Amino acid sequence: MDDKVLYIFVEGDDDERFFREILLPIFKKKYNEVKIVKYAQKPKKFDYLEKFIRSILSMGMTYIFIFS
Amino acid sequence: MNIKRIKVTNFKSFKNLDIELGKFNVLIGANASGKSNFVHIFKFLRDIANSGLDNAVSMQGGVEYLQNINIGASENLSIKISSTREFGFGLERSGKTGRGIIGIETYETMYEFELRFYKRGSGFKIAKDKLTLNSKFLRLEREKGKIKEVETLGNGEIAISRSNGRVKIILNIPKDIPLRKEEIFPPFLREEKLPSNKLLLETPYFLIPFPIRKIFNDISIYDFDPRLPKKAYPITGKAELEENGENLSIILKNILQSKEKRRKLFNLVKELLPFVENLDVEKFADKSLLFKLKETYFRNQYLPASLISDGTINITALIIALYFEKKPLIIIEEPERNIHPYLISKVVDMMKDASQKKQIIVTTHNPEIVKYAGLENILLISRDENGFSIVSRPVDKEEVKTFLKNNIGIEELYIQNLL
Repeated sequence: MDDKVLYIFVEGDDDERFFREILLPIFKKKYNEVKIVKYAQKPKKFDYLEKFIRSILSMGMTYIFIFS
Repeated sequence: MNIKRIKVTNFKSFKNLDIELGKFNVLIGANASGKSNFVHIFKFLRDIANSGLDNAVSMQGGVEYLQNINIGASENLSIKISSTREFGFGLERSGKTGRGIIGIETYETMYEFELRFYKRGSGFKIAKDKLTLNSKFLRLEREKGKIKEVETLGNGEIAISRSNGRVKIILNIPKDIPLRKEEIFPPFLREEKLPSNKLLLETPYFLIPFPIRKIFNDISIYDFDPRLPKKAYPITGKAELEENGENLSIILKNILQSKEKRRKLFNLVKELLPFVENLDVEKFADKSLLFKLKETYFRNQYLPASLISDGTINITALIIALYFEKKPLIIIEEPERNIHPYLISKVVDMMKDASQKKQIIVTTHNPEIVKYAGLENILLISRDENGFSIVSRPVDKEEVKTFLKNNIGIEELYIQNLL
């Protein structure tokens, strides 16, 4: 198992619940840690996400971005 | 520093805890992560020092709730603390072994004990009990009624431990220091047998020759309830602030009697609450006290405590705990309670300022406190996958540093659970 963290960007609480309950156990087999970030309620979403994604990429980590 | 490092095993929600503390420590974490259990470690130590081990165990809910529910009696409960609070004393010698004064300055105190729980019932026994005093030995001289240092003789260790129900003292000092353990500890101490459920912390070894028990006695754990100071309080109460703040009127009365303290209090209160014109305390016929406040808006009328806002009361109690109480270690649970977010940065600045003179531990959920506390002062408490509480320092995590470098605020990382 890689010593890596997976970041999952979800819109809000419903997405978070789905990922935490259904997909998180699967991802946990591959990643040491899975962190969920909610972004829909944040002002200046583009800036907000850009800062996160820039940080994640500079650390060599993986992310999944969910939108509808 | 009163408590520099703390190591704990099998205590409430902690399986293993090993954390260094600074002067200002902000403990953050989700609900039920173990913040209160962390505070209970200090409360347990203080209760042992003040009321004895049996009472301290009982005050934690008994053995059943003292040990971790999952670990139970399979592991010992252990607590080890290290303190850099300094103690010193001079030993005047005039016997066969030498003359003159030898000074002993303790610069680090380490105390550890272990409790072994019985598999059946709620009993326990003391499995380990050891006090180590790392000290500097000096040659002193009396000159014109004053004691002055002549030379440093070297560093050494005084170890006091429990062995088969008796006290064992070992002096590890350089051979050329002319000092024997019999000279440090009076005979009545050395001959004492230790009762089976009594820790060294409860014995005179924590008072003679150094008042080390103060490390544990001198801990205040504040959890202010602003409703309590709104009621009149009997004049016969304690002169130090109660942990729930109920005797605030007595404390204010004492402060207001001193011109210097009064000026200091007003400067601090006005910094946070500029509308406060005056504070005073009223004495009633039934020998009770109630404080009152005059606002700049109503200059001819005082408001009794019962009509003062919860936030004003909380801030006043907080200022007194930070700047007027003497204890070298204070723990404040949720100091931001009832305080407007705009004032939080000032409250945090006050706590940082006060931490130059006393060690402060704060527990909070509040992102505003996290924002202004400073990354280096934050301790994050969380539960691992087995439910054990773990304490970490976000400042040590590379990913946190990377997020901060990309202008993501620490309070945002806290809200998103990314610390």
